[in-house]
Amino acid sequence: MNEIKLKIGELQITTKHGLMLVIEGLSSCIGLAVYDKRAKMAGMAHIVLPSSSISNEKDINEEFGKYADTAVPGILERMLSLGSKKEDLIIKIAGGTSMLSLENEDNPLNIGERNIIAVKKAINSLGLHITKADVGGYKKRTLKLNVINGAFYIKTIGQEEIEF
Amino acid sequence: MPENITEILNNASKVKHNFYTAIKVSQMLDDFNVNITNLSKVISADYALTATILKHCNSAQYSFARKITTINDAISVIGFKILKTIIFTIVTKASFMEEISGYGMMKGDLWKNSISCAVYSKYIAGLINYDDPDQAFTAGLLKDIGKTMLNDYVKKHFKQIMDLCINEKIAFSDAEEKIIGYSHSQIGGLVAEKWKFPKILIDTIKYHHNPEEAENNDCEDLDLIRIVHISDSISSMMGHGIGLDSLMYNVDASCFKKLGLKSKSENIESLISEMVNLNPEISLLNSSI
Repeated sequence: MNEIKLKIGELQITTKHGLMLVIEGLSSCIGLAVYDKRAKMAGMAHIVLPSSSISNEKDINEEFGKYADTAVPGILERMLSLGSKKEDLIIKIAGGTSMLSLENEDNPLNIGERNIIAVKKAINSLGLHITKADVGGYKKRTLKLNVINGAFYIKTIGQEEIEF
Repeated sequence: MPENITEILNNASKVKHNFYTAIKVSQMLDDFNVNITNLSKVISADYALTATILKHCNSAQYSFARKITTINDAISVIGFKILKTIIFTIVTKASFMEEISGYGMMKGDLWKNSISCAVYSKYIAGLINYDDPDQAFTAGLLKDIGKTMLNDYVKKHFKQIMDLCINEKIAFSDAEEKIIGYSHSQIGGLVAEKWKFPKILIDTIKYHHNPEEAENNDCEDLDLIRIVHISDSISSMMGHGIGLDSLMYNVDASCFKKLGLKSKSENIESLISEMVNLNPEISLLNSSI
């Protein structure tokens, strides 16, 4: 099985069977994985930050996988425009860890918590909901999605990989 | 029952072999009357190191018009300061590529974490007009050298350390100190001292998780410690090569203000966004070393 490892800020949508979409080393970032069980279409984004409003890059289109408010519609609206139906979409998220001293979301350094909130909000605003989430805590995770059958896997460091 | 410090430091001799030339070159360069011929001789005696320096100097990162074929050549085009950074980077990679199993770090993880922290440290140093961004790079690179020496002890006491972290909500390094007797930062600092690293590097290695403690301990360069502290935290938040200790550390948000950086949420997010844009540079550096 060929793995496509998504870099930080990268986004992928594919129907290519025999592929596994993978995000390794999820820490404060969020891995968003979406599967259309009818079309066997998979999407994944390695989201770094909650909002593109801070971006001073000239062309936001080139890096819309980096921010929750652009990556979420970047995957979901695209899949809907390709023919997916809302009721067929399975949406799972993982990551959003925080450093030890940052447990309340008001701390400006608590990117993990703000990412979780922003991703949930962006998904809900499209009239969709998260099927499953494994977020928060202190430990890094690896998220995988098999394109052919929509099997999701999660591995938290120090633990076995499990179906998710 | 704390472990024996002499035994722990004995582990340093395995790592020192890789660092021998770097330490020697660093000491020679700290002497203002350095003799270039002698310096070239010391470096050229290490064939593997010389080959990697030349490969790096001829990589796309520099794109010099002519091919660099000798160490003398390299010194004349890149200068002493960058040469020192390159040598530290090469020898650090040789030691940090190993699996650090006590910390759950796979082969290459410690290196990935360290090279990211180094590039981020140099970037922040540039932002605040710190006078020696290359020194910030080296400090960011070496901050976790103690992990290579404390690895076996962390492995042996891992459950106790982790339980203490979770139950008392203390940082992994503080739990190391309570259970083993020393944290990886303290061991790294002691080794750096033994190897006669410059004092500012020793201090950064020792206090990179506790910049506030450095303020009470006669450190010459608090800004360097703060730069590495922030870079280390952001590098770990971005997941670069982190291990079982993952994000089980405190981050001292006051470092932003003390360095003259704005510290509202949007300022920190902008900074992270800019730092993430350096990731291709990290990959390029990685492939040319």
